[in-house]
Amino acid sequence: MSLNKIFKENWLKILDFNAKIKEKKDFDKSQIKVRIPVTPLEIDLSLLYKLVSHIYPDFVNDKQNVLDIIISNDQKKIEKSYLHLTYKNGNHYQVKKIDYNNGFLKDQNLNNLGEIFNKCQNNLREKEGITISGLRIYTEKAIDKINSLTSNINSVDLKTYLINLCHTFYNLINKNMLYIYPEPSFMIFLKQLVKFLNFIDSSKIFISIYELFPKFNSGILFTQENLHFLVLIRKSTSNFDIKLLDLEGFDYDFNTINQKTLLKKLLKKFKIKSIYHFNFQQFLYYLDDLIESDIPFEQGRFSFLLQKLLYAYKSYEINWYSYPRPIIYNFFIKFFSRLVGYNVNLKKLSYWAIPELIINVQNSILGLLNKIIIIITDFQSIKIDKSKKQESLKETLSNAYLIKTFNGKLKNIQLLNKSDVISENQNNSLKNIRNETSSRFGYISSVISIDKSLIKLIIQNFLLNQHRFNPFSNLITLRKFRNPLYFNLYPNRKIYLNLKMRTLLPILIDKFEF
Amino acid sequence: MNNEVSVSITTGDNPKDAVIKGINNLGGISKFIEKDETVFIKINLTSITGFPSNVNFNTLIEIIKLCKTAGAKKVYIGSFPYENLSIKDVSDELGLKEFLEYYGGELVFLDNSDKLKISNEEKLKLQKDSFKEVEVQDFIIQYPKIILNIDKFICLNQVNVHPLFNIHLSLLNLFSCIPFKFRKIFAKENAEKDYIITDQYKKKLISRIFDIYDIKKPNLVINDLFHFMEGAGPFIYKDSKINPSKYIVCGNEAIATDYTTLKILGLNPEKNFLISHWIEKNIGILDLEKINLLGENLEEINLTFKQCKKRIEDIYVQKFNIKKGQICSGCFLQSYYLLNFLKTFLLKDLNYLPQCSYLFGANPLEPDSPNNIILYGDCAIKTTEKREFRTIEKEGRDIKTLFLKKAIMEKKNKRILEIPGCPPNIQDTLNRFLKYFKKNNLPTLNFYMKKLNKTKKTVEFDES
Ligand code: SF4
Repeated sequence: MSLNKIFKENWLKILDFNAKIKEKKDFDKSQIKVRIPVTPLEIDLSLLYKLVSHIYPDFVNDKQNVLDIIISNDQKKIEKSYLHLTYKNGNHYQVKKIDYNNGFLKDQNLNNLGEIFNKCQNNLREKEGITISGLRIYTEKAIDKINSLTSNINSVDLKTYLINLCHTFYNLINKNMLYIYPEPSFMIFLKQLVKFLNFIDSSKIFISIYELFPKFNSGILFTQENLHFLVLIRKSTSNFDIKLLDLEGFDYDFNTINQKTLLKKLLKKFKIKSIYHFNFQQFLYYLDDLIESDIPFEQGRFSFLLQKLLYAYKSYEINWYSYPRPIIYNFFIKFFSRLVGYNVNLKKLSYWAIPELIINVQNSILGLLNKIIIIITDFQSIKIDKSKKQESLKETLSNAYLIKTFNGKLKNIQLLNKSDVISENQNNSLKNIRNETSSRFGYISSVISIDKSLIKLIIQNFLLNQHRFNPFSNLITLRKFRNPLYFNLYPNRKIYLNLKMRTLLPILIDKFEF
Repeated sequence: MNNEVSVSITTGDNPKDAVIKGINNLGGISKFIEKDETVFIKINLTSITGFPSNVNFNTLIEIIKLCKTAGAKKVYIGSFPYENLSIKDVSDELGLKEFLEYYGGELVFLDNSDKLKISNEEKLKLQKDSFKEVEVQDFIIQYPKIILNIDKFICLNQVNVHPLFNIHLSLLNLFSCIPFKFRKIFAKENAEKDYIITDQYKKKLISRIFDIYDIKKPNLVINDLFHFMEGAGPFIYKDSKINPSKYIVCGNEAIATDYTTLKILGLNPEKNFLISHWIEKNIGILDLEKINLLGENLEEINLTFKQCKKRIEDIYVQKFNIKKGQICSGCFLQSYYLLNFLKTFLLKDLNYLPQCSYLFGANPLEPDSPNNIILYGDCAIKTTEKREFRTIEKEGRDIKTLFLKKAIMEKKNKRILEIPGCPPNIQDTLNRFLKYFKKNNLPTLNFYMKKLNKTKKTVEFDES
């Protein structure tokens, strides 16, 4: 039982390249492409090396060498074992087969990985004179899963691959096929996430999110000292594609070039519609804060993460750039909106007060113990008489989630079956759904239905097309919120929902810059 | 039913199991409700916020179902909400009417707020038909006839922490059988001098609570502490938490049920203002130590929880220097709600505000500066009339010299916000804040008040 040929070939290329660096050979400038291990994503070898050096020490560990052990499915026997020699920065440069006798794992409990790790550590120190910093144990089934994920990796499209990846990852975690010691923080985070989502198959979540995104074609430029790379993301109706490019080979002087000129050049060169520029280190810091958080987030942690995100968002042209510029930063737009009484200066976005407001409103509406149902409909998937919306829920319901909160934090999210929500015999109004589901799941305080097309419009108009001046499209999106075919809520919480922009804006935007 | 006072303590995986067990321990629902009887379930229905400011609907559904299985002809459910909210407001926001109908119950609009579009005469007639006038403490209150005429009366009380009475007991729940305006305690004009020292507010409040309790006593009392609120409570969710104690206490008598509930929570019932008042007035009527306890062993229950802050000075509100005088429970309670509201909901606004001195009670401490002094309550206003901070010295042209020379002159200090009332009303206080500090300095308060002031319009009918 070992990993398949395609995976191995790619892996050996990477080891070969990294080994040369050890011998102090310079980065190969020919920009040889490999795939990021276990993915179909192509990347320049030198960029892969640099990314690993930036990410691995913070997110996995900052010491050398890892041992991989493949064990039988009954977890009693060692099938194979490989020692990966790595640099401190996490780049692997050599692999060695290690022979363990069959009794090596006898009487060892996989729940006590620390003990197994110490045993391996002592053994390798004696035999090879090498110390390891990590141990990964795979069952044969795990290798099977990884092999089937990577068997057609040269030809598979990214969407199918990501669905398979989510599925594989879900199985590895949920069915105890993979053990890592010491467990990296991202692994703990992902495990908590899977548990929090009530073991909903993550591929289903991926598909739901994927379908909500409209078409787009954008680039994200990440820079940091000695690291400049571009991520191209393109989503069409049927597929989507990600490319990573090292910009070292391009002749840009990143220290002197004007941001606007640089982004404009990249936009033209790669034929993309929009481009964003972030500092890579700051991005990693945020990611680190995120995965160091316990899931579900405590309210304090949520507030902290949201504050950071809003602060970053408000620091446009300080911490991040984009081309074309978001229309909201246009002087005339700001001026005229101010003139008609709306202060929308995002530079004064109240990053420190908004999270508190969200928490307080959430606490008051939901209380400290609450269950709500969110129904995602796909109204466009069927042609139906608009007046028959209530009955149409039977046909239009795409997904339904039961969301439980306790003491102000999300407790878990449960994917419901259609039959849990829709009744064959009676009128499926949100009122009836609320009453029926309350007898099954306990008191449901609200049922919300939202159509996919509306979510798509929100993402398109308020997230992806921030640079376009499109007041009509924005207005249509907002008006759809008043149309129960696209957005509906029961009970209709009028007091909270009838928000007036004029009273809300002074809360969202500060008077002074703090 | 024999006259023995019994209380049952039960627990379970969910409120449904615990309440069924509790009622079964008392002899089953049929011991309380007979076929074709009408039932009124008095619940907590305080506001449009989420649990636990209102009853736990999972427990309520179960009780409705039990009443129905016992053959109840009609199961009514109701309560009066907090000030400025009508039952219709709460029902519409929470979708209650339809929800309770689905489970076989009927939400009663005790305040007739569901009948808004009727003439004034019809309103008055309706008011007369639905309420009975009852005299309590030289004061006429209106008590809903539907409760008076009901066959069986059940009190389902959601237990939470309470700033004045430690715990929201069933006695407090029963107090909201009458509209909020009759629950308010006002000092008489020229109140006695020792009104504060003897805490007449609290005394009057307690005796009114018992007066209301005496009008109609419940046949079955359920104190639901399966999930109860601890910490700041009762409307301040940020500094509060649900304590999943998993206990429900049921009894055939309210005092005994409350007494046992306090014991479960590790509190001395005799130190509780309500229970101690009852003991004082009713020596020998009910030996609380001889309650027939059923279900879980009280001695083995060891619950701990965080209580409300006991001193107003311990509530930290940014920019507010709290200067206390002699206070009674009226200003304590209102200040508790007000300051917690400010600190929780107005985080942003407090950053815009200048430093303020919050003076409350009779003869409060000196403010830190003559600027932005908030005088909260009649006592603070009256007892500071002659204080130095009421005037400020300003340089100006002296009238005596025909404005030829400058002189230091005394002027009335206008940087004082007076909030009258004994105790003041929260909504009025917040509206005065908006006026004094200006809307643009209080954007969040302005946002909330737009919503709050709107709800007031729907309750005016009740005031007619
Ligand atoms: S103003 Fe306040 S402290 Fe004074 S008597 Fe009235 S409620 Fe009590």
